[in-house]
Amino acid sequence: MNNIKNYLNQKIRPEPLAFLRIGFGLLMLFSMIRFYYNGWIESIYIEPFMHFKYYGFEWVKSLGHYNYLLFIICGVSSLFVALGYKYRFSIFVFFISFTYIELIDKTTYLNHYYFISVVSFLFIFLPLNAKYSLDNYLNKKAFLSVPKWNIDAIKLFVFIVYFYAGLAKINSDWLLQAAPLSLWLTSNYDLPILGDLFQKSWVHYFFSWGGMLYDLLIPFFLIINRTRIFAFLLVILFHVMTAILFPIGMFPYIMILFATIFFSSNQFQKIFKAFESIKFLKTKDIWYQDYNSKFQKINVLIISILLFVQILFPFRSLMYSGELFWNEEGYRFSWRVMLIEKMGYTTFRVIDSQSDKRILVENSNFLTDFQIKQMSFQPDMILEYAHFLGDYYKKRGFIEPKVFVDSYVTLNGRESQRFIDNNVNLLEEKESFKKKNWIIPLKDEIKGI
Amino acid sequence: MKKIYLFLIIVIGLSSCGGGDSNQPSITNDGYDRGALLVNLTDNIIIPSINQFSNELSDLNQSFQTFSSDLTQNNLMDLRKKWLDAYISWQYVEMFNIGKAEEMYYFQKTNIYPTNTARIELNVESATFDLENNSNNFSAQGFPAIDYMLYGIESDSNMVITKYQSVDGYKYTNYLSSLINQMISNTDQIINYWQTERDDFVSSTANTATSSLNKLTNDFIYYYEKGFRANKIGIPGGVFSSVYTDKVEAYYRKNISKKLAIEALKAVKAFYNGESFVDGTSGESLKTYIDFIVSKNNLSNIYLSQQINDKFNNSEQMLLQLNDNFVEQINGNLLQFLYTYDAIQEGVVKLKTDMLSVLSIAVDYVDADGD
Repeated sequence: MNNIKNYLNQKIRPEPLAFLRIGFGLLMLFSMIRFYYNGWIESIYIEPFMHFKYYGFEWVKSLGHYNYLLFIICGVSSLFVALGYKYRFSIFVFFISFTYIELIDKTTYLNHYYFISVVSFLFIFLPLNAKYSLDNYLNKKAFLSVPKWNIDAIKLFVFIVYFYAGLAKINSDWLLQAAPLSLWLTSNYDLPILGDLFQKSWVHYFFSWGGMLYDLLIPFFLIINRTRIFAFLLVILFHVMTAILFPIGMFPYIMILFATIFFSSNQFQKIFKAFESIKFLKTKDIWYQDYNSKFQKINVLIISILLFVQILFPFRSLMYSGELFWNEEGYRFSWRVMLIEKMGYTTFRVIDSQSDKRILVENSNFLTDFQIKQMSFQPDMILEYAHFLGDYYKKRGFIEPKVFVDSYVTLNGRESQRFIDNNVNLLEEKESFKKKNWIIPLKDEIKGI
Repeated sequence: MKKIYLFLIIVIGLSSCGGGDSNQPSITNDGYDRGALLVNLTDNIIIPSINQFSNELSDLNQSFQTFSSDLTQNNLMDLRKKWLDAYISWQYVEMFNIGKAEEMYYFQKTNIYPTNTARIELNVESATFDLENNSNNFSAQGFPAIDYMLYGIESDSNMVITKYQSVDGYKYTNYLSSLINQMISNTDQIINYWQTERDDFVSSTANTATSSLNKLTNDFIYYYEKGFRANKIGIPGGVFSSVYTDKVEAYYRKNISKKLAIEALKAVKAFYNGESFVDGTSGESLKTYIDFIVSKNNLSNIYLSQQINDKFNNSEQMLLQLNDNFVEQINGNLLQFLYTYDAIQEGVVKLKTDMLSVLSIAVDYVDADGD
């Protein structure tokens, strides 16, 4: 108990937090602008006729054209976070607005969006504005130290992300077939130099095994003093490589930024020296002191719970029998990245059991191409869409609609097979955490975690 | 620490080895030659098909000239025959809705059915119409419109001739002339496009949404699913809602809907297998590309390229057993018609899941991050 108390009282210089805050805020601001620039606010959040909801968050609605306002709020709050202006309020607003956006439609689910939601929640309870923030000037108060556990909490979370991503790669598809990397790398044939290399089988295996080892080991190498610089170079090399190869947006840059949290305060001081020489920032009025939160106890509690949940939650897939990559029960929110190449073709029949009305649904009448692509191989989305269709046709004269689905999916280069039982009226099935018995099992076995 | 730097040096060393390799010409043996694939598809299939179609249109026009100057039964029969020849030839062109063709709505201006007869009659009567830019006229031109002009305006050939001979007959002749001329001028633009763009097209071998192979593959699948499966079978057969016999292809001619569908499927098969339109020899194709990737990456899906051909062949067998006239087929034995649809549908599944996944073709319509 004393050990814990001692640990919680340990102090550390706050530079790493300041650097992370500035980097995070700017990356998020850039990310919002990029979203706007690519027209995604329109195509992902405004254009669609229906949105796919996360279980339990059906109440989160698209705000129509006010979604732009939501993005502006999110962008401005990330700028404020970067500046360290009214930090607690700004990061809170960022967390709420960003998470709200993500909850509007699960079609766009990405692990790194979830990562951002979790860290921004974590940041609400941490003094990222302790130094080098506008708040210091406004409050005439800056901090020479922060509790060490504040930084360790972030490190632990980054550790979980990498390590779990590595664990998920220990499976027969990834290690023994080099799938799906072999397919993806082969298709990058037009890259200079690497394109030819990517046609070679040993390169696929090298990347698969290398990726697995990287994810498992990099957090350790980042923690250990002697290997940190080397590990960080590897982080840059690895993520820049993935940025070139795959359309994964901001993820590589976010991970590179978060790897800097492992550096010690001394290593940051050089950077901030340059900062301090800016005349405008020199103020004599600032009072330096140690940071002590009035809410230390509750902060420790909340963050402990958060991290504890993060450690356990990715393992929930073990509670489901059947092939995880195929059924995707407990697949999201578990740092399973780049593991599956799935392509589906899914069509719906709506039949009225009280009349001779029947219809084969043209998906593009209701969904965007992006939604069709994602829905076609994800069981929960297929079910949600089936219910949407049932409601839709009930309002249009179908007295007792039944919805059946013809769905075929291919996984990691396997032959496609029927995905959903076509004799099941999906309107009789409800979304829940229970096993979905209407998924036809994969005719193969993927061994691994 | 030293060991780790050694490891780093090895990693960098390995990647630079690759760099050295790529400078040697032998490396191309290791990868699939997409340039050769595009050259084969373009030079041996796309361009010759369009040239052939253009020739058929010239013949059609010639026959029309004869007919318009001498409105006889024989000349009408020849005109009808030339129309059918050109229509068959079109089945080999429709799927290449790419570049200029897409931009100028070439497919929509050539083969939208059912044709809009009220609109046609309006155009005939007013004699002022814009076939080029007015999208309301898409369904009042092309083969389906000529189908109506040659078979639909009266119930038999004698009466059709009588109609062309009547006081207002010249209006019909003029409209028919406009329809044929429009198709010729459209097709000239397409030929011109391929003449100027061919070199750029075959050298665009990257794997991006806008590169040639991706667009061609996406258009091919789109055609198989919509132009072939849905338009020719699914929609008239009532797969999507209720039965519409008037939505069969060549509705007024009646007994060639099966023939056109079979030709369309032959065109699909030939494209997939890379069979030359000129002499039927096989070259690089989606099929050989699939085989290459499957064996290179040791995929379990080893029969994929053959399975796709099996689906096509099975569909062809089913089609061959249908009535020449799909209207009669639908009225007589709808179930058999729908089974044929199901057989064709199995091909869609293979193309849209297995093939796209194996080839990792960037799907042209989806633009978002992944992880």
